[in-house]
Parts: sequence; C-alpha cells; structure tokens
Amino acid sequence: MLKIEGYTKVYGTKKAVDHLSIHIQPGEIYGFIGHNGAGKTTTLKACAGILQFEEGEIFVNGISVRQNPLACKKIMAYVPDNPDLYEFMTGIKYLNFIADVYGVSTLERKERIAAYADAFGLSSALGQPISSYSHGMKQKLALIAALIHRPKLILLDEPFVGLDPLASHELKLIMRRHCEEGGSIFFSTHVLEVAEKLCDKVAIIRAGKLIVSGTMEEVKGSGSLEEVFLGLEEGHD
Amino acid sequence: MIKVLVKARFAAMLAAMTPKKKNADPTKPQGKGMLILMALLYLYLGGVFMMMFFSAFFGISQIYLPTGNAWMYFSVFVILSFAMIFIGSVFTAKAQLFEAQDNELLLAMPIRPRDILASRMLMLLLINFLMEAVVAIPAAIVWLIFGSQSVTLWVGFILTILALPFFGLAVSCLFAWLISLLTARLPKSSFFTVGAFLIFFFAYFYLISNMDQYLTMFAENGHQIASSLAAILPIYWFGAGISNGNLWQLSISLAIYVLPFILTYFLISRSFIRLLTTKKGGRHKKIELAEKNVRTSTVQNALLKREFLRLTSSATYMLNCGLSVPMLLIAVGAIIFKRNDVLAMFDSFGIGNVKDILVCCFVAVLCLLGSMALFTSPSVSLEGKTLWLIRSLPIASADILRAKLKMHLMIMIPTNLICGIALIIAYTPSFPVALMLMILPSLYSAWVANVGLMCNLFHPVLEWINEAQVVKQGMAVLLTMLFSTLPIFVLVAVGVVLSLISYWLTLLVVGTIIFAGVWLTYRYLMHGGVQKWESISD
Repeated sequence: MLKIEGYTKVYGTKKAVDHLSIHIQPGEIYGFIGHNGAGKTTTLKACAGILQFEEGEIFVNGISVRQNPLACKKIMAYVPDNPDLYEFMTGIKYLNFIADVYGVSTLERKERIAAYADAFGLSSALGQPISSYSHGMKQKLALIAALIHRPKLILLDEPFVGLDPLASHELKLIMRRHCEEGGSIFFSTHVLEVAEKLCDKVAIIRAGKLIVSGTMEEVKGSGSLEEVFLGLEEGHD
Repeated sequence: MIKVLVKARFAAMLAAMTPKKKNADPTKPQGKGMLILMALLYLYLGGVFMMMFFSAFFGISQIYLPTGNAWMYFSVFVILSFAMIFIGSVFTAKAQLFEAQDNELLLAMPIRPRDILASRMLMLLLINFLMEAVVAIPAAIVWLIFGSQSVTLWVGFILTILALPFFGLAVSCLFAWLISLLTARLPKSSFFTVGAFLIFFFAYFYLISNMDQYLTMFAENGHQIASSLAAILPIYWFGAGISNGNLWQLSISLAIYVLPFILTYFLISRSFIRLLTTKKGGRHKKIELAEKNVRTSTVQNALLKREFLRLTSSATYMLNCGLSVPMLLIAVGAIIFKRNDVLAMFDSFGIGNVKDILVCCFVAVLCLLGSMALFTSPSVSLEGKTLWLIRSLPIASADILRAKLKMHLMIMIPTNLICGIALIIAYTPSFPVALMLMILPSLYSAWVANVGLMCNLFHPVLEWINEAQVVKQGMAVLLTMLFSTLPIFVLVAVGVVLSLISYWLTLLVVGTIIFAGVWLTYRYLMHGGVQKWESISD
C-alpha cells in the first residue's frame, strides 16, 4: 500500500532524512518511532504529498507520489501532529468542504459525519466555529475529516496527543477496523505502549536514518518495545 | 522585560516582511538582501507620499504665510499628520493588541499584562513615527525655505512632532479597544468591525475633504475667528503654539497629544486579560445534520466558498484589501452627484467634447481605485499554518490558484460594472468611450489579481503572529501596490496621445496592452505559478 524507497530530504546542507526505505502492506498498522527531530514528520509529510524531496521514490498503491500526487491523495488521508484547521469555518462547514473535495455524496457524508462525530463525542460542537475548539476537539475533527472518504491509507502524526481516554480508545478501534477492512495505517508516536499493542510492524528512526524495522515480534523479541528503543538510543550515545 | 518583548515583536515583523527561500536551512538567519529590497520599497513609497505633501505644503505656504496666518500652516500639518497616523495604525492596532496568536503564550509566562500591552503599543508608536515623518519632513523643508525662522518656533515644531504620534496611537487603540469589546461575543464580528470602521473612516474623510472650505473660512476671517475662539479651539492652539511661540498654547497642545495616550494605556491595561481571554464566537446550539447543513458542491465551488469564508471572517483582510470597493462606489456616487459642477468646471477649460474627456479620466480613476483592491496578494500567506491541509487534499494546484483569482474578480467586476453603468447614464459619453468604461477597469482588475497572486507566490510568509503582518506589511502587498499602480500612469500617457487620434484606437491599444498583460501573467500562474505553489512548504 505504501512503499518508501531511498527517500532523502535535505534542508540546506542538513540531511533531515537519509535513504529511508519502508514497505507497508494492505491491512497493516505500521508504527513509526523516533526521538524529536528524527525525521518522522518530514517523512509523513512527503508521503502525504505536501513536501517535495530530493532523492528516492514514494508509492501509494503503486502510484508515485512525486509523479501523480493527486491520484495518491485521492486514496489516502493525512492528519498532522498539531492540526491547524480553518478557524474561519464551523466544524460542519469544514467537514462539508473536505467531503466536497473528495466527492462524497450527501447521503454518505451525512451517515459518516453522524457516525464518527457520535463516536468521538463531537456532535454537539459541529455548529461552532473551529476557533472555539480545544486542541483535542480539533484533533477529533481532523480525524473525522480524514475518515470521511474512506481512504485506503491513513497517515497519522502523533494521533493520540490531546485525545481524551474515550476518544483514544475509539480511535484505536477505528484504526483496527480500518485495517481489517483492507486499509493501511502509517503513524508516528512517542507512546511506546500504544505502539506495542496496536502495531503489526514498527520502524525506529534516528537522525534521519532507519535503525531497525520489522514485525513487532522481530523488533522487540522477548523484551518490550521501550527496552529496545532505549537500548538503541543508549547504544548510539 | 519590555525590551525583550519589543525585540521579539520586531523580529516577528521583520520575518513577516522577508520570507525565507525554498529549502533554506531553518537554523540559518535571513539574508540581508531581502531587507535592503524591502527598505528600498518603503523608501520609494515614502518618497511618493513626501512629494505629494511637499506640493501641498508649498501651496498652503503661498496662501497663508503672506496673510500673516502662519498658525494655519502648522494646524494643517497637525491635521494631515494625524490623518496619516490614524490611517496607518488603526488597521494594525486591533490585530496587534487583541488578536495576536502569541497572546495566550505570553500571558502564561511570568510577564505583567501591562508589559505585553506596552511592548505592542511601542511597536505601533514606531509605525506612527514613520507615518508622521512622511508629512513632517516635507512640512519642515517647505518651512525652511519659505517660513520665518526662530528658535522657539522650531522647538515647538519638534516637540509637536515628538508628541503627536502618542495622540494618534491613543485614538487608534481606543477605536480598536471599543471594537474588540463590542465584538468579543458576536458570531459575525468581522462584519461589525468592518461596518463600524467604514462609518468612522468615511465620516473622517468627509471632514478632511471639507477641510479646505473650513481653512479658507479661517484664512479669510483668521484673526477674528482665532481671537473669538482661541479659548476653545484646539486646532488654533495646535498651530499657534508653534508659530507664535506661545508657551501656554504649546503646553495645552502637547497635553492634548500625550494625556489621552496615558489614559488609554491605563484603561486598556485594566481590561487586557479579560479581552484576550473572552471566548470568541458567541453562543451556539447543537445543529441537526439536515439537508441545509450537509450540502454537496463541486471542488471549484468548495474552493471559492473557502476563499470567501476566509475573507469575510477577517475584518483586517476585508478592510486592508477591500477598502477600495466602497471607496469606488462612493467616489462614483460623488462624481454623479456633483455632475453639473464637474461638467461646468471642465466646460470652462474650453476643450473639445467634455463628456468624453471626463469619462476617459473616470476610466483612469476606476483603474487606480481598483488597483488598491489587493485580495490575492496576501492570499497565499494567509494559508499560514493551515497550508498542510489544502496541500494534502487531492486538488489540482491550478484550481486552488484559480479560486483565489476568481474571488478577486467576483468582487471587482460587478463593482466596476455598477460604477461604469452609473457613469454612462450620468455622463452619456460616445460609444467607444462608454465601451472603455465598461471594459478597461475590469480588465485591469484581472491584471491586479494576477500580479497580486504572483507577488505572493514569490514572497510567501507562512509564519505570522497576526494577520496584519501579511495583509498590511508583507513584501507581496507592497510589490503588488507598486506593480498595480505604476502601469496606470504609463497607460494614461499612451491613452492621452492616442485619444487625440481616435477613441476607438485608444480602446484597442490600451485594451490590448492590458489584455496581453493579463494573458501572460495568467499563463505564468498556471505553469510557473503552480510550481511555485507546490514548492512552498510550511
């Protein structure tokens, strides 16, 4: 579903990401772990088609993000770590805008908005301007917007930050359900316990370079993901 | 603490003016080239205004100095300076003081709210001094050449120059404060702000436009009026305090300039936190997911709606970039209302077909006023931190750019057509001249839209603390003003020459030149512009 091949991103003279390669199959939840500034967000943005890059290729469902970004964007969704949304819109106007862009029919959008807004406890706030939303509410709205067109691939940058426990639980269920239906999820997180329980595969990145990747069992072995991560960090220091 | 805050604000202002290059190392500071270019642009604009004020003060000096009414000269200086200061800072005051995105961040730090307020007011004061300089420098030069020199006069003049920006700041801040208080709980606060501002703005300009009559009246009966109203007329004190070297009048004038500022500062500092922390948007109830709330539209319409929502949600955006729309309508209204006076005045010159010549002048006026509508020039920068959103959606970049252009045209073309039709009915020009009036202003609006968008694509600023930084002070807006006003003078020169031969030829040549400009810039936007847009990253 997502194939990153030798992806390299350079800012000035600094290599933010250096020859990164990751393959994500349909039905997989893939965790992306690394310290702050490791290159996780830069990678996710490039996959989402919003950041140009110098070397490598990224394919979504076999389509090159570089050569055909629109076709890729049609089948995926991206939610950043700090969802700055259109504060000049109300929640419902924002969802309508997103649904219009993806060509979601009136009936489908009505059903999906009702279902997801109910699941995230946001129904009563949809008529309010986004400027009045809390961080968590914006996060929930961004997630509903990401799900509204039923994408094949979902890219999530720190999706659990700012969510209340109930919404967090609901999101995990939705993520699992999405993958059971054949979709894929590539998400970054600092919450290693969540990654350990939720992910089928995981990749650890450090200073733009892939340190280790594979199935959860391959990466963590008999220990915990936290032990593996800390061990890798200490080993590098 | 105030010094640290002022430094931070200054850095933010410079960053907003000087966008970083694509792929620049985020850890490296901004190059000086852009700063120099920006300074040159400001100098150019300042120079244009100074030339205008120089000729105004020259005229004033020739009328009032020989009649012994030197106080008039300085009173006019005070009025013009205040006008410049007010217009220059009132747009920024509300955004800087009450709508800055870092308000909550700063309030959470161990900083006294009044220090935050003081740092912001200091920045506004700096802007006020720059605005005042545009009037003060020509006034001082003209006085040096034509006025009688004395030490007391110059001391009074310099003290007035130093104190006047405080008064301008007080009025701007009070206006911004009142609007913020009133709109804090209104759901459609931007429209209220715009409405209130327009009433104030046009009332003020009505007074300014009639100031000539008032001043003539003063000049004719200067001594009588001054002696009878000296005790209650501040305008007389403002001028006489300088020209007569009267310490009492000067002291009252300086007190009038400075005391309101002190009062305003304390008044706003008392309610600063409350204003910043009042939840915006008013009360809302749970909505039903009914047909009226869940409607489908095409991608193009959705994008256009997004642009209009963006515009109408921001009083700063509407006022700074769209003020020329009501100005156009009012100017045309005035031209029609004063039709007989205008025709009589031009008739007295004894030049050919007066109506046709007049309407040709109106075409230039419509183009000039229309060139001040700058909806597209901050439109890319205004994406700000939400750029990720539009970039992550499956929308062709060309469609996004087209929606920005379309919004500009959807506002300007109807405005131009209404003005054109009204002027044709009132002045009944010949057919080719009427066609010019109907076609050229709208065509020129398309040029302004394209140029504005191009300038912003070349100079986008996504990291801003308040919208005013990109809407008012951004490099893109400055460049657009330059590229949208300068060609008018060239086109007018071409038009004047060609109109001596034939109006049809004028329409054909000027229309073709503008059309070629529109076509070329549009072609660029749909190719190079799209690439520029795609290379912008937040």
